[in-house]
Amino acid sequence: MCATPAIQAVNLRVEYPLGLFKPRRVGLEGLDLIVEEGEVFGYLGPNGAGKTTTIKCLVGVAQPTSGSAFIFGKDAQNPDSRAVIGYSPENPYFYEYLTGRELLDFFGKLSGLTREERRIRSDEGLKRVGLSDSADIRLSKYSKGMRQRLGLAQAIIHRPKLVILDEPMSGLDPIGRRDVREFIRELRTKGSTIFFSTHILSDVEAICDHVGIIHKGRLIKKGELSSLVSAETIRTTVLAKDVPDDVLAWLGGELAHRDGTQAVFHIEGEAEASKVMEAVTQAGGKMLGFELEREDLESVFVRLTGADSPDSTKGGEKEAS
Amino acid sequence: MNTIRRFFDNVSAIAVNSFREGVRDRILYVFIVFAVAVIALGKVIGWVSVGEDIKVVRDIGLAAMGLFGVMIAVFVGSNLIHKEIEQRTIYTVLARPVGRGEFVLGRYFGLLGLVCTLTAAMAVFFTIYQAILVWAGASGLNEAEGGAISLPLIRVQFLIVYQFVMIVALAVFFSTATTPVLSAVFTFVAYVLGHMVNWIYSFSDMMLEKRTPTFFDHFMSWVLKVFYYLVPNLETFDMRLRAVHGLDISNTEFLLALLYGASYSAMVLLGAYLVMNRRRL
Repeated sequence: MCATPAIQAVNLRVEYPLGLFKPRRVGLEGLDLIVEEGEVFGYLGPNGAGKTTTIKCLVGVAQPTSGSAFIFGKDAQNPDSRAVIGYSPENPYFYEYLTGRELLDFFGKLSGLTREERRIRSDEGLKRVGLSDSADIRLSKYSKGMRQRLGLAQAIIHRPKLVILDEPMSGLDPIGRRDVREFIRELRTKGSTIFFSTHILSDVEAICDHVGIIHKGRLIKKGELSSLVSAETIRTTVLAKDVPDDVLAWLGGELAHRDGTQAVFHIEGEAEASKVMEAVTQAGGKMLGFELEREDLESVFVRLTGADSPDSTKGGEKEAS
Repeated sequence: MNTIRRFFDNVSAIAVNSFREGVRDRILYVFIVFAVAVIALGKVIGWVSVGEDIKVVRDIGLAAMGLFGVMIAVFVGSNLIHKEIEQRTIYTVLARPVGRGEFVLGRYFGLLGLVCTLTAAMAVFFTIYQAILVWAGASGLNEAEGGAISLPLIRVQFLIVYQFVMIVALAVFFSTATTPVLSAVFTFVAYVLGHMVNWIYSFSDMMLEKRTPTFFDHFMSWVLKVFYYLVPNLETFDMRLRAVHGLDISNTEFLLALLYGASYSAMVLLGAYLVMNRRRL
């Protein structure tokens, strides 16, 4: 028997009215997505691709024009489905007149925790994200990084089975990003399912086991990270010595560099590389080494979306929602 | 968790948070200081009207309580829901097991609690001030009026506070549907029209009193009648003159006013919920 997916979106479509006589803008165009329990799922896409819109549908903030989203089998529009979700929005917006402790207490109450549970878990959460010293300071005095960390603390105060994070590393310094990565790894070891959107590919490669790439409101690629990034060898670099001139002339197209008796070849495709290496050894040359260049996540992303690397847009404009 | 219990927990959590928001907004204290100053100044005007000190103090004091309460309701209420959407603070709230109806109700009760607390504080000050004036031998009070504290006076003060049940509901409704400026204007206009309902009704009848009323007269009469039923009938709650002159307010009259206010507010809040439910965030 198959377990119920943590997240399931079925033909999810979201349209935004732009004006009375203007065509509607499509935010999501028939999105189908499944995230199984226990996965750490990185949700990638260029600005305006529909990442935040997807997340808003999953947490019940936005209502889809058509299609459905389910959280552990429950309709995402049903408030009950959100009892198992912990959510931290991009650039968390919280009540500035509250202190960090009061904010956690408020969200704890909305999650059905008792007074004692709220007290204990608020302290734990603040300690976990390094805000114990600022617990009784109003949020209007918090820096962006502190708010981001408080956003993570409020997302897990009720120990949810599913944690949804919208751009959790956005605007953080390297230490802050490292802390968030550690935070996500820790949640994973505790068995939570984590779904997070990001622009930063290195973070995805560091912590995700599954990746989805969304482009123009459609999920264009989804799978295990390893299957996405190591599927093909895009180039092989071969270093050889004492290669006869006639062989060098024959391989002229692939010859990248020649230094004395050593030659470096760049060969497209794995099969072609084998032929070159065989020709070199048969002609009496010596193989010094070779290196396979596989397609990394950035290359996959750029190839699929036809966009610039999302890394180059980090900290830039916000996704239209 | 029990659904009903969760409903009350969510509404109370959001209401307490909204109340806290209001209490921590320093501008409200400016309103309070002004209200207290106006109530105190009633005595100065009382000197002009010889022998009617307390009556003038009561009239001005009760009017100030009503007006400043409305100003607070309009000032805070006009931005109540809109700000949550604009600043996106609503996202993390609705991402919890919280329905949009619970959110609207929580915000409503939070603001209502705030306005009632502040108006009640004004009422306490007003009563103490009157008591001091009576003790100091102020003129204009006879045996029938019962001194600084009397049942009609308590009832009229309660009704002043109670009318905010409706005003705050309207502020919340407009705040879900429109911008803060428009919301403030609409709420205040509703308050003003609410004190003119009897005039609106009479004018509607007058339109048809001509010998041969035209189609336009019939249409305008109908429009005014619709207005009469749409705007809150705040005249029901305005019993200041009776309190000032020591006249009684019957139990039936008092209870009917309470019932009307509760029913009207429930309808307006239902409207706010329907608007909120359709609103794209």
